[in-house]
Amino acid sequence: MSDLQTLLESAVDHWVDVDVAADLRRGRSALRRRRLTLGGGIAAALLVAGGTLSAFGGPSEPSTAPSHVTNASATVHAGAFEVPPPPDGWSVWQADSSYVLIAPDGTPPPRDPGIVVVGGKLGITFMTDANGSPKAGPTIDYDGRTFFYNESTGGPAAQVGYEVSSGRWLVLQEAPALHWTVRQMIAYLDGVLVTPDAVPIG
Amino acid sequence: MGERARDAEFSDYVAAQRVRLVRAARLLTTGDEAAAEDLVQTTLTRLYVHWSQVSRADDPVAYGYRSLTNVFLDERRRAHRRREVADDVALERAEVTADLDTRRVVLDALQQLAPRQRAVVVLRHFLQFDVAATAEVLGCVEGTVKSQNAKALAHLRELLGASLPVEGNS
Repeated sequence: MSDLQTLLESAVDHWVDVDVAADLRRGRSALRRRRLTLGGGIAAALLVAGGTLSAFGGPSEPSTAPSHVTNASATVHAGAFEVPPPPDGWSVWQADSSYVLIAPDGTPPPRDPGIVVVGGKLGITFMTDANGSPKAGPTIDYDGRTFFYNESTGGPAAQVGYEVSSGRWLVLQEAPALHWTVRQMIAYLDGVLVTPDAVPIG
Repeated sequence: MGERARDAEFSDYVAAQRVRLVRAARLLTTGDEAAAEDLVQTTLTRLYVHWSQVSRADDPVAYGYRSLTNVFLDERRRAHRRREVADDVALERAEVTADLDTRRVVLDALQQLAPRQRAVVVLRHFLQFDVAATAEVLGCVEGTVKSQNAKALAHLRELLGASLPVEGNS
């Protein structure tokens, strides 16, 4: 038997998966969260329910104007949020200060900006828990946060969410057509930045 | 520091250091690859957030291992508080023979060490930090590193056999 260093070297594989982009993404996300925290006052969340996303007296009506979307960096600007790049063939469909909807390319714009059909789209909402806490279902720890997972029990689709700050939540509603796993949903939501311009619904 | 410079420097750092960080983390977690990956991800995320400090450090590489060790010890402290009841694992001396999986034996032996002693072993004997650097990482005096190292080596010698270094208190 050789010395301790050799033993230690032999005890762990040399094979390691190195994904620099993933580490960079996590770092950027954490830095944005930190800056927001230091800047004070973020809010969070939309309300997703019954297959429709309604303003519910929220601070602003959903905009029918095209969202400002750029792909200059690893995130896409959408309303008061920055979101990870949508899946291939999908893009930000509508966004404002409280929510983002991501839909398949070519999805026609909403006819009534006050009531937006969420079904089939990937919905990210910033909301208070005034209408009931999204804290339900099992919890999953990811990237230092605790996410709640709500299965699709009578609702339109499964949701994951986490508490951005006291009583303010960021919630992602799945788009069934994407066939995302819970972990994929959480990973995407984890990459969403809530800017200081965001206003929670509720 | 600009975002592009931060991203570029961080990316280079990750490309150069991630493998060794993960291997050190696997020793700290005694082979739990998922836990090791979590440690490294947390460490690298912290490094990115505080990159201006990392880049100004005398030794950015050592800074990373210091951060990894701190993340590990913090996590162990939290886990200990959660567990309340300390594990009282019966120690069995494992004879390292050709018939045994040496890797598992080494990792099992590391698992018998207290987290701080394990950190000393990884820092001193895997990462080859000297006593002063190890003391700096752990936030203690050099004498503590020496005594922790001596105890750890004695324990490992008992578990692994007599052919470990006899550097005792170095």
